[in-house]
Amino acid sequence: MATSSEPMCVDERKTSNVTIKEGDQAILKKGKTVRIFQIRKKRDIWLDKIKFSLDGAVGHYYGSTFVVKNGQMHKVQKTFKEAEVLGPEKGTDNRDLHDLDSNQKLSREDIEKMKKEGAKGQEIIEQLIENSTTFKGKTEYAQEKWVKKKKQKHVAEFTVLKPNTRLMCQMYHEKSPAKILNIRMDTLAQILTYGNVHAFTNVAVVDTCSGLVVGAVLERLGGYGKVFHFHPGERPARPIVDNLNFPQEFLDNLYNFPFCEINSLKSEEGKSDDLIDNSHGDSVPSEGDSLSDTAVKQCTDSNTETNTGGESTESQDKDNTDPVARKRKAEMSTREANKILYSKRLSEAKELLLKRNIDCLIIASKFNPTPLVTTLIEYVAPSRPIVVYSQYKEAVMDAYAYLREIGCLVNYRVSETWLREYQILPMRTHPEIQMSAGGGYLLTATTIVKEQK
Amino acid sequence: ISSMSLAKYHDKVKENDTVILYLGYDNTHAIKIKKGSVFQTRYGALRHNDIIGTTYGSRVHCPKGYLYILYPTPELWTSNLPHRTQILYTTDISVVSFQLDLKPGAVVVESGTGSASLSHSIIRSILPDGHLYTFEFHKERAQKAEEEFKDHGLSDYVTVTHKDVCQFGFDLEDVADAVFLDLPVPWDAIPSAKKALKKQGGRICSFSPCIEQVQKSCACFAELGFEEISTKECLVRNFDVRTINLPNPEFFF
Repeated sequence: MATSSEPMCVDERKTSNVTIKEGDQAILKKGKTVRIFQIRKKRDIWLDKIKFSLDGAVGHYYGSTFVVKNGQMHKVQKTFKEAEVLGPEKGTDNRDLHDLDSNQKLSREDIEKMKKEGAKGQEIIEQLIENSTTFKGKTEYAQEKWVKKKKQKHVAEFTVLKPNTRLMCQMYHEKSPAKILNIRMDTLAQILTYGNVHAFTNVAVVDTCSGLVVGAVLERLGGYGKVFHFHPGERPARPIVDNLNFPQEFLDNLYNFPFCEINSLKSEEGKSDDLIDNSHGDSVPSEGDSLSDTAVKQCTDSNTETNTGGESTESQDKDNTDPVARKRKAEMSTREANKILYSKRLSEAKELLLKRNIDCLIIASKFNPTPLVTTLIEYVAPSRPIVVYSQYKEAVMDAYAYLREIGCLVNYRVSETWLREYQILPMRTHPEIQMSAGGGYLLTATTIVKEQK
Repeated sequence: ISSMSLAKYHDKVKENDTVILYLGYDNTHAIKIKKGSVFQTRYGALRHNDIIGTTYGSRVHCPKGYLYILYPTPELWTSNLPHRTQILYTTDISVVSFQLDLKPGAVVVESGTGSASLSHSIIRSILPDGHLYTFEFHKERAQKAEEEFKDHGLSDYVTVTHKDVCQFGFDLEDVADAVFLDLPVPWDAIPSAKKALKKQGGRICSFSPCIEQVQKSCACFAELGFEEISTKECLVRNFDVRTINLPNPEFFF
């Protein structure tokens, strides 16, 4: 049994990564509602049916609590505790309490009026209490629960947090679990641990869960070590990695590897690639998809060079003055540069994989895991962990049975973790009413030296 | 001088390495390689000299069978370390590490060290630029932990202190990203733990076997102004996967 919590103390240290800045990806948490937004000044967002702008957050520390007034965010020190608004009067049980709308004398309009006039959250709650005929008859615990509910409804108070794997996993699991293949936080935790994911390891990940696993691995690598993201299609879809806002150095270590290139990887053994030789000595390129300024400059420079060489001065002048032609030329240069960058990165990835010293293979995809393991296992060094995740027990069991047959692994384990959350309050301690049924299944194993036959 | 390290994989077995012998399901052992030593297994004698120089992951033959030499990950170490106290197993270790947002560079404070099962895992997750300050009130256990960290090439990343933090506090201020408590009376250490946490915020986790302890700890956290207080229990279920034939009954004589 474990509990975790965060202190909300703040000091005047101005370290850049603990201050909310414009352009940051930030998580806004209100009770159980967790949403991620990009901080953009003068742009309104919606959270829990309230519209406001994020300007007020900039410059404050992550972990600060804010309240919304008239569409603007204002920092507050601490949420008022339920106990603070309870009076001395309380009942013993609910035998004489009736659940009627007329119990509350304040109407919706009255409350809205109070909010518009700038009444503080605590004042609104106190008014609601005064105008409730049943409040004083409730037990102390019922009163606390009632106040908590009203706070949730009428007090627009929330915390701004820096995105990390834990919060992203929580957010997606609550809102759209299908996008992360129903990976629950305890399952993701097991994947990272059993995979021995840590600094200086090279990790191959097959991820079709919006980049949750790739992001989690990047976080645990801390910029040391490489990640190979195997994905279907031409471009990987990993919004979670974007949300996690990694520094460029981390992303420079992330290689994309489309499934369709795997066959060519298999046939590439022993071949040397021209592009690989050219890449030595160059500056480290940025992640495959994004544009590298250096590459574009080189491309456009070479374009202008050939132009001055080949074409007459007349046509050159025409090109320079025509904006449409200039734009088209710029776009073509960009596309050219991107293509060159893409194949450069791919060749690098292939070269690295062919070293066959991957330290960890993680499979968390919608595809049948068995062929993925049998295909990629040869790039994994011996005595290294393999972790296969599936939402479906059968997929994991099948992989286990097949791999055991061909005998390429040891230390097998097929497992499932069970997570139960608790409400811990004096005289009110019990497991939460709802429990998550499925967090998925794992197959873990360790590679061995391939037997020479 | 060979450098064993749980921090970084290396290819071949060297003297002074801790290796994991894999004999079969639920049949593993951790041994420290020493020239001339012999380890007795159910398959016969295993001479350390025969293992030195082999590649991790190799199959090694014994008189009556074979086994595999595996690299000691913190997980394999947890399953094979000598117990001086009750330890945390990988299931809980995983959740704790995840909930404390451990990653390279994190500074972590822990008490009690116990058998250093969790400690090994924490160090693995926070190196190379993080640090673990671990406190243990039992002198010999503190020493044994320190020896093990040294054996495993992890000394640079950890400081072991022989101290009763419930009585004397951690004596650390504004340094930790995360604190972990595995104590019989955690609420006695929580105020000092809060002080140890960085002022910009951090995570704290208390691990207790009994619900009464959890209740008291949660009350203490709330009183000291901690937020996002949450209590979880994580259990693992291992599957025994077998293909079996269910015979069809015969309905005639």
